[in-house]
Amino acid sequence: MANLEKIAHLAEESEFDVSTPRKNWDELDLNKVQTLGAGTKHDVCASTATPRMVKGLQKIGNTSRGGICHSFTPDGRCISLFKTLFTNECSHDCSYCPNSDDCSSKGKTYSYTPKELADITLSLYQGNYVEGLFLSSGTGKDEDIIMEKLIETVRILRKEYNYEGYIHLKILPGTDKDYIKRSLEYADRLSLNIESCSKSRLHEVSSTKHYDYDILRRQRYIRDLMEKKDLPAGHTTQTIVGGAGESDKEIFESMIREYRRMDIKRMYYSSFTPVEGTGLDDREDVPNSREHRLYQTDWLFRVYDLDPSEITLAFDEEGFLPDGDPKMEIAQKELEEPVDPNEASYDRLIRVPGIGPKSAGRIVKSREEEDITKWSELSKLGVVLKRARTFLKVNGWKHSTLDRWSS
Amino acid sequence: MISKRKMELLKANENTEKNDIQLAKNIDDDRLETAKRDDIIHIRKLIRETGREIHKMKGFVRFKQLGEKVKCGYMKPEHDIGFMVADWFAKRFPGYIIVLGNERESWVSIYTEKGISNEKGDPLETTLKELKEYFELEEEIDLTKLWETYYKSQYSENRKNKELFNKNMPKKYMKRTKTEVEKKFEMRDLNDY
Repeated sequence: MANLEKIAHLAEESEFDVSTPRKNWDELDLNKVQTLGAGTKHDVCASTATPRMVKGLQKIGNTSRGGICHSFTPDGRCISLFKTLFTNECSHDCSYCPNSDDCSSKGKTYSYTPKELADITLSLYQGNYVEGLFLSSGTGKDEDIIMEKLIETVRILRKEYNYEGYIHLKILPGTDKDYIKRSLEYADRLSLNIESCSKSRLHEVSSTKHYDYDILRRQRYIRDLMEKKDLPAGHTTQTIVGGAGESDKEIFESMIREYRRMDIKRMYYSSFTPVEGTGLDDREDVPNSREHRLYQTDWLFRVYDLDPSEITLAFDEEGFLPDGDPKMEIAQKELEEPVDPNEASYDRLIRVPGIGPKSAGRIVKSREEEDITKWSELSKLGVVLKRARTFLKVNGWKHSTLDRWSS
Repeated sequence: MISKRKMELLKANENTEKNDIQLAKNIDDDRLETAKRDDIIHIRKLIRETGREIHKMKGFVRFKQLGEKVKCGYMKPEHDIGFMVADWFAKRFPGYIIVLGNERESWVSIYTEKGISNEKGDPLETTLKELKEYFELEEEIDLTKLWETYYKSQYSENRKNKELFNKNMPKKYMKRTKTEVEKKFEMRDLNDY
């Protein structure tokens, strides 16, 4: 293999200073890795998509436009990042949180050093176990001191190791504005979790965190600073679903506020799970279906561009989402007569259950050439007929004649 | 003709026939995307299959670091995508020799100021033996324990969803990348019943 010789020479010649830490992790306390890893498992953002393009040769790593999952947990969720706390020591008393100062079942507190954490991240990245780092933390005794360490961790990665992979960095509630500014230098994405849908709901679960001051004000800092310094993957937030007895409607309203006023890229929803030893440990588990329904309304707002007043049709009188696809609920209330795929606008088509933005786009393009005359043609364009059939007519032929949409 | 990238993906698919390629030459991406004809839908499917395998390999392949210069991983793809994956990793890790392969064949790639250089090789073991003539391929650092600890820490028992797991991490890809930790965890899980 003559070419292998050439490749070997190229590698020998290459002068890249890839000064990566080559550590044997035998000395590492795996209980720490376990505890600080588990401390983030309710934080569900796994996105690694970023438009940041990496050029040049003097670096380790790059990013991917669509994001990559490197593994999946037995619950089917994507593992894309080394997602960890810096420390599980925390001065807040949030009654849903296993890291809370008040949690009686909380074990030992651990902490990484910035160097140690940067080294672990790089090792896992080099082994292609992860796309990068998701760094969160308890606030320790003082959020600014911990925030300084989080920033030092990502600084080491970026500046000392020339690491160009993905970084998602948490902004701790109450953090000084200057730290947010410095975080923007290194991160692809920043996030600060609102945790609750309103001031009064947060107050029910935490006496130490202030919604306006600790959270909303910091989100505004991020929003405003982002205008001067590009944050490639934007900023995001997360709320707990059902921790404080809030309705879906209340969460939905906070979703709209966050998207519109804070200019967030994504909101994430995490169903409440009681943690032993916390103030809410006698509450019931909130089923995952509830967070799933909220994601569906989020999708209708963000991707379908439906007006909030339209999405509101999906809620029942108590402000909860019934156990069914919200889009179906809305269609049943809103669509007056069967939709003709050859006539309807794109906006009309995407409102039909079983037709999404992709298949609606295909229908519009395809009918420029020739009309759709058969149901089977729709299914070839990606329409899920099982769901769409009752809302459509093809060749003047419709499936539901009795009692609007009952079939 | 369909776009260059899509043609590449189509040609790489094991199940692509000559007439599929002929047909793909006569249509453009728009037509491919909106077609209702079965033969064109079939082409769409072939392209998607190859793309999916590349994507999964980028995610599931694991590297062992051998000495200073070589990163080596097990990969046994169904389709002819070896270089597409190896070159992609080479660009992610400039200056390193990326060696991907299996009992039958291997793909070697490096990215330097001269661009990508690559070479199709013999079985993985043979390629590594040959590289030993140039480099010290000393004992690698084993990350398995660290990874296993972290992997387990991310799991919530009350959210268990095997169906979703199997959909996202199908056995066939675990086999094709020799994924150990997840498989072990899955076995342990089965024994619980």
